[in-house]
Amino acid sequence: MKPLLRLDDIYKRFGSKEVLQRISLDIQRGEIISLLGKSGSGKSTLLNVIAGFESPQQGSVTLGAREITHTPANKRDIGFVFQNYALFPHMNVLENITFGISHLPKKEQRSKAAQLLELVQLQAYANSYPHQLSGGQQQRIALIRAMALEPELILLDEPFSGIDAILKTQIQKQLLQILRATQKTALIVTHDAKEAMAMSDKIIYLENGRITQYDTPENIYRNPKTKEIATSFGVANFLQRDGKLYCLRPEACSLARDGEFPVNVTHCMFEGERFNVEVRLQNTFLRLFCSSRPQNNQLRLSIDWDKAVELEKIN
Amino acid sequence: MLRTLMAAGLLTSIAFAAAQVNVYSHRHYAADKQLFETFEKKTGIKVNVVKAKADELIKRLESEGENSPADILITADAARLHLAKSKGLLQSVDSAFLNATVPAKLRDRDGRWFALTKRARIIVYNKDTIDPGELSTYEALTEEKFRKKILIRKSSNVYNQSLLASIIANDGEEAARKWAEGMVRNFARTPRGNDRDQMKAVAAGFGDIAVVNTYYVGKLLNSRKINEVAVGKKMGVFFPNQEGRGTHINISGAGVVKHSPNKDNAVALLEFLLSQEAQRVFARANYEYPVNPEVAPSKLLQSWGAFKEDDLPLNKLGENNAEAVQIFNEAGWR
Amino acid sequence: MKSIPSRWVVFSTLLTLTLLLPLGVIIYNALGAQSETLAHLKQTVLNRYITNTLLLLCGVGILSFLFGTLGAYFVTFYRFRFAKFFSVVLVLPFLIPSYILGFIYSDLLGFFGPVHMFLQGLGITWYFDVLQMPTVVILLSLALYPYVYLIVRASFAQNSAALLNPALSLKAGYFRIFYKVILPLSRPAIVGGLSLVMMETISEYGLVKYFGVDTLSTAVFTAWFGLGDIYSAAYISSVAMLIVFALLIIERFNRGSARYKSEAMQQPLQKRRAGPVLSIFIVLFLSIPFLFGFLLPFAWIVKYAWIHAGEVIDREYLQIVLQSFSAAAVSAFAVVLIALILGYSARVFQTPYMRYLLKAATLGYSIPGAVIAVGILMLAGLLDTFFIATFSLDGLVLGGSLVLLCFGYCVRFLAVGLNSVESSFEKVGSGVNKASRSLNKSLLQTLLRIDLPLIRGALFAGFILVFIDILKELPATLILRPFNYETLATKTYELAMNEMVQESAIYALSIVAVSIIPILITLRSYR
Repeated sequence: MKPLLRLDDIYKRFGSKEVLQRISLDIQRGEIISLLGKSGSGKSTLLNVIAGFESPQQGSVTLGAREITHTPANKRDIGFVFQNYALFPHMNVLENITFGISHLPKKEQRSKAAQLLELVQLQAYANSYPHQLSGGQQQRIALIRAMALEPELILLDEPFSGIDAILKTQIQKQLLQILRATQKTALIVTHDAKEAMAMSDKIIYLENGRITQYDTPENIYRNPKTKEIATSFGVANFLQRDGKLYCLRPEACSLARDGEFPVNVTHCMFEGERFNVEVRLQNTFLRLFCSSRPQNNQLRLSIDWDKAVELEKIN
Repeated sequence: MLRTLMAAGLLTSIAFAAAQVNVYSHRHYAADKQLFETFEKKTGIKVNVVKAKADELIKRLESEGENSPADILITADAARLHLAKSKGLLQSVDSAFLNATVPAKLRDRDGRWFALTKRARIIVYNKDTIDPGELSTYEALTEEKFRKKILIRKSSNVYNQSLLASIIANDGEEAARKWAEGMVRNFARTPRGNDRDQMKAVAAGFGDIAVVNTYYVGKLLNSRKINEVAVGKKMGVFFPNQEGRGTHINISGAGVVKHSPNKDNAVALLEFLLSQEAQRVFARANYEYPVNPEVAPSKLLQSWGAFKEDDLPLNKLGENNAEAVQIFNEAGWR
Repeated sequence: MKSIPSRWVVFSTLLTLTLLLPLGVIIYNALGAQSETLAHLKQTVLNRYITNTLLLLCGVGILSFLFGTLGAYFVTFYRFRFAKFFSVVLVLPFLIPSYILGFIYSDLLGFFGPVHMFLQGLGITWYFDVLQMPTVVILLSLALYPYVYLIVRASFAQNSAALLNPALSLKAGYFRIFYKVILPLSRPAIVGGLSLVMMETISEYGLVKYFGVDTLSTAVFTAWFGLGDIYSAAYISSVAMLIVFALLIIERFNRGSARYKSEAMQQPLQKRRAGPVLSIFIVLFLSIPFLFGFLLPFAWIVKYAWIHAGEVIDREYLQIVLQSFSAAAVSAFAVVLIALILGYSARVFQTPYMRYLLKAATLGYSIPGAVIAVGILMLAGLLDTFFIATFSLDGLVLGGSLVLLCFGYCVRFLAVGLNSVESSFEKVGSGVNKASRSLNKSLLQTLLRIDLPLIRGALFAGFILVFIDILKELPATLILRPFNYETLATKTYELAMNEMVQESAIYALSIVAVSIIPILITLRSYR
């Protein structure tokens, strides 16, 4: 199947700083993809290259059948939801939504805006101004403003960064529902691994301008390719063995009388449904979960090597 | 399109009118304005005036070249008129009236400029401290006895440059250099301020003798400020070099611009400015000596008595100007 | 498909090059400058011009530093009587252009002026000579220190306030804190303020001319008009530019090495109560710049404006006001428009190239007005010759037209407009701009429908600031003004130069009155 978006060998530097180093990837129609990485990893630049706010020095961007590497942003048919939503403060909600479709007849604009407002259940706010809306409402307006043009691809830059932690899950769910219901293809930039795992079909992980892994959330969690990915997506233990570096999730470790390694329990925290235990194996500290509090300090550790992942050695 | 734009640009720089005369003037007196208005009423010729320093005006005439809208250049000294002439910016005017009215030494040989008014560069002294018997010539001001007593303005001033130019012409370059150096030795302070300031400094006791133009004395004596009148009254007026070549005079004058678009109007204005009517206004308003011999100077000037003028052709002031500037700079005359 | 530079970048580049052209012409002419006049000038007086300029820079630098920094320090860190009052009025000397300040004090302090007569009335017959370098230094400092005061006060409030409390808790004494913490932290601000003061000092024409101090700025006039030597004028101009560049480099160096900025430390500053002795000292100290930099000269202006109002306010006055305002308004509009184009291009294309381009475009702000004017005249001469030859016109196109004057103002004051544009863009953020573009609106549509409405207020404020700067500008106006053209500034100058200082008061008052507008706006936004 032909991908909706194809990046081929994208290279971008600012002065002498190489921000994107030979990025290639495909996104299929209807997928929801998260783009993850630490700050400075190049994810914002990659988003800007796709959106057309930056031009790469090398490589090409293809949307559907169109090569759009140097097409100006306003001729790409890619929707963009900005970090702080970037609603136009001097226009009301309706004007914001119809801004992009001003070429359509007035009547059509209105009916389209009404549909979209209904989709996000904000019909009552058509005449409100952005500053009168809550963060979540603003985000939904920003989303439908981008959707009004019926773009094939929607880019979302840190869509939840301005939203209260308590409301976040609920709003994530709403956003996901809308995207799925309209069968949109979306690329969501985030630095929150939990968010990425919860929302996306696939996750792109960027490190220093390179894609180090592009996979499903499950695979990324179970089989992280790098140390950074391993630590980003959950508790990770690292063990050197035979000159190789392994990542062990807590699930791969257990305390048992017949375990391979003798360990000392250095710390134990009760977390309600489980105990979070830290043990020391020679010079390394490992974290694992137990259903009951370890009774004494001298125990043996057993490792399920099937669940251990060998990491690519970077550096 | 381009042409329309350019025409618009032209409109801003040239004021179109049926009958007009465009004047570039260094003089900025209310009397001039009044005279121009009288001329307008009499002839219906509109007078447009650009007031600026003579140097700026000459610069402008040069850069405008044959496209200049200017008809008349008026300066407040002879050297600048000569400069304009030597740059080929002025044209010769042959007017029977002007030739008959303006004494030969007060107009250019080729009729490229004519004097409008005269002023003398004289010595003034503090009546309380100086006996006028001690004064004689410009040259004598360099004598030992006047050490730290002399006040005069900066060498960048054209009246000083013209004075030195006249000394170069009369006494030769070496003598002129000696004179400049001697003056610098006798300065009461580093030159600064205008002619009026020199007299005020004399009154304040910073020196005893100043070299100034006549009309500044008149202005002080007729000032609206009583303090300035008091300063003026303290000054004794002395016309130097009466035994010899006479006192150095300078003029303000005018010439018709080479590429004048309204030459006839320009000549008419010149003739008007030298008419008895206009000359009387000049004499009354600014304490300048009229050029038209039929018109008497103001009462104040008359009270100082008649004096012998240096008959040096005024062209010389311009010809020697550059040399004068050099000598001043080398003598350290600020 | 190859990436081609955007029309905006190309257009911005062309605009910037145009603005730089006069400076280029000067440098080009200065490089080959060899004339007898120049050789003579170099031998005799050029050194004195340079020495005078440098002396002036030192003197004005030191005094403005004292008034500005100490003023900001007292107002920020101490509680004393009239503290609020002084924090506002210390800005006021800004209102009176330096040359007007010079005219006023020469009238007040000249021989047989009011001060001398007052002393005489007291039986003190002591005459002092006001026309001296030290007077020029003091007056320029009084006129220019508010640059330092404003910038340093902002820096104190932003940076140091947050660190004062921690430093106090570490039991450091007040003097030690000022010396060790506050002063070093505010160094970039102080250097920034001082470099503005110094550039204005190099640019200064009216005041130094009136007081007979020969500087590079007056020498440009003499060389160009008096000696008629284009090469000397260009050469002297380039010497002045050299000093300016040296200042710019020092300033850049200082800023580059010290980039402190403490954010989000919005602690209220615990001001220290000044004791009775210190209070009196502070009030006396702060009164000096306020009294002599504003109150006294302002009173003088109002008095003589009142006395001469009847005779001076006539058709000519109204015409001059109209001319000044229209020229300033048209030019300020052009400045804001150019600033908008450049600022917007830089906003959209955030490349190092655009950053350098903007730096280059604003260079004119640090170049003396006389120098810019000479460059423009040279340029206009070249272009006119070309036009006349090419289109066989029978008149000058540029020479003596308002276009030159407006162009001069644009070169000189673009920085002021651009500053307003850039800071307001920064406040708005780039999100809305990108959002509009992602909604299929072109750059121009986005500018008109999104950015422009959002920064309208700031643009207007920028327009007013540029307008006032233009209204006050003297040297470039003197050189570039067209036929039959007087502005408030040139008329004030001309009257003063022709010994009618008191008659010039009404023109000076008109300039000051207009300059009050932005101060009132700022004060209102304070509340």
